[in-house]
Amino acid sequence: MASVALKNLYKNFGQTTVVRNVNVEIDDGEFLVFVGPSGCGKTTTLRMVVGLEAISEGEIYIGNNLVNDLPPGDRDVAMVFQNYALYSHMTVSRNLGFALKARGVDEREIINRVQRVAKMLDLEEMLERKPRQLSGGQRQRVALGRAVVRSPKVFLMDEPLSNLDALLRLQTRKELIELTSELKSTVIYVTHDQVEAMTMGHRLAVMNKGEVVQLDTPEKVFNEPANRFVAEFIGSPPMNFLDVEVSEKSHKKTIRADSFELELPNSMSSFSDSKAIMGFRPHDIKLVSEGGLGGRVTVVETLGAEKLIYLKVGNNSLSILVPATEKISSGEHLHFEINKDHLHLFNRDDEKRILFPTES
Amino acid sequence: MTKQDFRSRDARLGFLLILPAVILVILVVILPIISGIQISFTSQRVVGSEYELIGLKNYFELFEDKQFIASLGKSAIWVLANGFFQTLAALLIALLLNQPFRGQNFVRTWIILPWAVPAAVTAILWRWMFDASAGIVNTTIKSMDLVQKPVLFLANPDIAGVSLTFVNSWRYIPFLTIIFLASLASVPEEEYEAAQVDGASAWLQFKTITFPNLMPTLTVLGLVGTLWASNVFDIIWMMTRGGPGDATTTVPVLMYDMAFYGYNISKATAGAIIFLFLLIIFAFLFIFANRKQFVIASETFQDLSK
Repeated sequence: MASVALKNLYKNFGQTTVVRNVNVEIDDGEFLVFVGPSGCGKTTTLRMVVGLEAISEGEIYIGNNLVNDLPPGDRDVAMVFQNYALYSHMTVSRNLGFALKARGVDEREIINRVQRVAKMLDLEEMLERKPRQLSGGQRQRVALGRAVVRSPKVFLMDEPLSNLDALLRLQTRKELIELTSELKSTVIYVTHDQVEAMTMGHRLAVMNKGEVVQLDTPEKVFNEPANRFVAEFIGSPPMNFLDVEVSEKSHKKTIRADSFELELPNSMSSFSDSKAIMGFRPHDIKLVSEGGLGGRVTVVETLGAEKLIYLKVGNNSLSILVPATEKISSGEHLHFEINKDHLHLFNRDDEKRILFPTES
Repeated sequence: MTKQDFRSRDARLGFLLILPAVILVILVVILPIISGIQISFTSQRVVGSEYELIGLKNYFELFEDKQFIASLGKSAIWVLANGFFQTLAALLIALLLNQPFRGQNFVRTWIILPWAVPAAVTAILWRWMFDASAGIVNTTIKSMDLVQKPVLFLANPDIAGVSLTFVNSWRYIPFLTIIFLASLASVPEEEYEAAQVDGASAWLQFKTITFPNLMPTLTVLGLVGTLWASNVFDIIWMMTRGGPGDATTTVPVLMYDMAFYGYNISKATAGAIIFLFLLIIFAFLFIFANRKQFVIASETFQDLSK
């Protein structure tokens, strides 16, 4: 295993820059997730690390070696592709052993290592089958096994779970976490699924429009999002946002929107702008019978343990999560209070989250 | 409406749709073959002349005819040489054209040109180019001091077959190249990427990914290519008339010569029937031996047409 460092990485296709100034250092044994919407440059970044995409600018180090000019086969990295990319004309066993064979590993050693990996991933029964005779989950395990068998310095995974159905995805996610922590692997993982990112990553690199907008632990990314994009992208259902005016009333800062007024907590009293974007997550609320924010219920979605309620508050549409036991139907008028400890303010111009001195 | 009704209505529509093709095949393939078999049992000399039934006499004569036996051998060599040379060349060209380069689309489209040229034009074109005194091939190799005397490409019995193979291949290689390119396009790009990451050399990638993916195509071409090459008549007739001597007299050329210059149409027809019979046996054996590849090929075709 080895560490990986991406330094000032750029990728241009003609005039278009799809990866812009990416700087990420991945520790030995770390599970780092690149997460972002489609087209944000996360897969391109991964493909530059593996060597399938040329680097326009910047440097990539694996261990202490600059690998910019090394072909993929010489970087000692293994990749799990989104569509698995199994060799369709080879049996499972030959798929697993291919990389070893390409490197001229002794035949007996190949058999041993293939057997060991097949046992680890529960593939022993299907070693002589062709990929087309396997189910999606089995193919996924072969793709994983093909990477594991090499004991590479780094595992690169490009949305490896996205082609599995929901239940299998959950199960495979758990297995993948177990396997990689057991092997103490350095993993770079790409996904657009924020739940996958939150559950698997030691750290997340949230990408948008070719740039890494936040590089932090899942907790920090969730609780202290760097900007409105991260706040909206991470967390489900997404955060609510409201354009608000800020004024001072008897030494207390107050925010105001078209239909309500809210006193800011003392920790935010240093805020000096007159305009902001307020953000709060749907579960950071408390239903009250009077006062607070009020709105008319438009849609009720039952999620099981909780209900997701869409409200019309003034001209804004908001969503809140309440326990499923609450009896609420659409058309009803509802009052709630926002948990001020989890209130976020964002700058209206650059949409960055405003930091207050109590936070480090 | 039950499902069964629907199926049988479907079947009826299907039958109606292929009916024109079936009628056409009966009229222009099945009936002429039956009529050919009839003629081969007679003593007819030219079309429309009087004749009597002579049973298998034509066939017995042919089995003792050294010229006919020799033409079978020449046809076999012709098919093998053409098949080998064309397949190899087309595969190499397709692999080259599959690499990205400027003007790729232009070349991939216009490479079909030699195939689109009528056989008569091709034959005359190459007869000029192979001409001993003024042909561009001879003047070029002479100016490069490669030869002292002009090479008699079509008049030297040792070279004529090679020259004809070359011209016929020149004609068919573009078509095969296009087929190979289509087949190469269906190989998943990700398998090559996985192989690169796995550290496979270009040769190992070809051997383990490209070639197995081309196998169904190669097998189908092995069959139809053999049948096409066996029946080539136009190029040979227009360039050498089967000569010099009998050097390039394959079965179709001999049959034509026998029927329309030797005035023995019934014997020539008998020869053609024997040849047809041999080709049918070959086709059956070939399909049986490669049935797995044919299944894959038809599955691939079904996938593509979805």
